[in-house]
Parts: sequence; C-alpha cells; structure tokens
Amino acid sequence: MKQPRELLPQVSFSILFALSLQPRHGYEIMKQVEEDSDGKIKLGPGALYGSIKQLRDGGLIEELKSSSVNRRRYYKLSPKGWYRLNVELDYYKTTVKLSRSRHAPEMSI
Amino acid sequence: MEQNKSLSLYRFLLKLYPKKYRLEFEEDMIETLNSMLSVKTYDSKLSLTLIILKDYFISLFNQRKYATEESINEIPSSIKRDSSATLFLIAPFMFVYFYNIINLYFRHYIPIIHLESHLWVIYSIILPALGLIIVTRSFIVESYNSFISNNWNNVVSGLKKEWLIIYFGLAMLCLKVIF
Repeated sequence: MKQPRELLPQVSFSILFALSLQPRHGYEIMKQVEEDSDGKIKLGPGALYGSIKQLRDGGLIEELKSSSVNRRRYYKLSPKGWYRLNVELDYYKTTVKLSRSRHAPEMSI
Repeated sequence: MEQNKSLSLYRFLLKLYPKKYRLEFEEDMIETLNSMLSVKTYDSKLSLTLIILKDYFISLFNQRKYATEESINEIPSSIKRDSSATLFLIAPFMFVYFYNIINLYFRHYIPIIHLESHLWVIYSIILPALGLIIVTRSFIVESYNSFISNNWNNVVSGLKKEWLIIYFGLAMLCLKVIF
C-alpha cells in the first residue's frame, strides 16, 4: 500500500487504536479512547462522529452490518485501517527508540 | 425527565449541522449523549454541559466548513472558472467605485479618481456585461450538457447551494451597473 505522507490527528489515531481490539459502537469507542489516554482525551459526540466520518470516508474503518435487535452502528478496522495503524505505531516506536538512543537525562522513557 | 429535556435541546441544536451529516449521524450522536448522561461519571452537571457545548460548537464549525468545501467541489469547474473571470472583470470598476465612496466619506482628503468618459464606459458597462455573458454562457452550456447526459446533479447542486447567492449578487451588480 502507498505510504501516507502525514500522521493522523491524535483523535483519529486513538479511534483506530480503540478499534484494534474489537469492533465497537460510538459510545464504546469514546470510553476506550478515554481509558487508553488515561483520561487525557475526552471526546464529545461531535468530535467522535466527525472523526468517524472522516475515517470511514478515507476507507480506514468500516461499518458492520447491524443486527435487527441492536440499532447501534458498530465499526471495525478495514485492511487499509490496519495498515495505517501499523504505520503510525512504527513511527511512534521509532521515535521512542531514537529518544532512548540520545540518552537525554531528562527523558524518562 | 431532565435527561429528556437535555436530549430534546441537543436534538434541536443538531438542526444547525449540514443536512447530509445530520441525517447520517443525528441518532447516533443523541444515543451517545444519552449514554453519557446515564452513566454520571462526570464531576458535575456543569462540567459535562461545558464539555458538550465546546464539542458541539467546534464540531459544528468543522462540519459546516467541510460541507461548504464539498459543495464548492461539486460545482462544475467551468462555472467556477467563469465566475472567477467575471469577478476579475468587474474588479477595476469596483475598485474605482469604492475608492470614490471612501473619498466622499472622508470629504476629499484623498484625491478622487477621475476617469475619462470612455474608461468609465469600459469599466462600468463593457467589462461587467462581458462577465455576465460569460457566466450565463457557462450555465447554458452546463445545463445543455446535463440535458444531453440526463444528469442534473451538477447544475442543481451548483445552483441550489450558497453559490446561487453569489451569482445572484453578481448578476444584480452587473444589471445595476449597466442600467
């Protein structure tokens, strides 16, 4: 696949990361993002569905076929989304590796 | 009871979102807000209200911006090009016109631009009329293409969106200048 030129915004990355465990509906994504970020990222419905729309339009996430019982829409990562998430994680991994190699005493990682 | 009131108010506020986005996500957003209100994990009602309002206004601005960009992209490029050309054609007249109005307002502290009569004819009649012809031509051509291909989406979306106001304003300005 084509290498992306820019990193994803923080919220979009967090949503992809939240969906990497299992398919989720909007509110579950919101709670998972909050938990993953240790409460630092608190999404509201507007930011959440705005990002979901962008990710879905970009082909990074897909909507699951809903069952007749539950009318909530569930989303999962598409193959393109998995690839993109791995690219982002590689970037962060490289950044951490680089900062460790610099041996800066102020860095605690 | 209070939760229902909040949800009704939120549903009302969501009407300001672009229609396409609202039709797709309105119910999900309300459902999510309902879940947020039910679990009561926030410090206070005020903090939750502030979070929701901040989120609402930022998201509203973003979605309006995306919707405008999308609607501009939907307009046929020939119409966009021709309306830009028209703006360019009437620019000299608009400059002289507004400059002289400012001059009147400041009681001639800045020198007025006196144009020869033949320049006024060119600036105020010929160039805007040419612009009007160009825009009208592109609408006719696009309408004809749509008629041939039986696909009116482009012209209709170009016509019914915010650009209609701009075209109407331009046409009125040209007519005012001509007559």
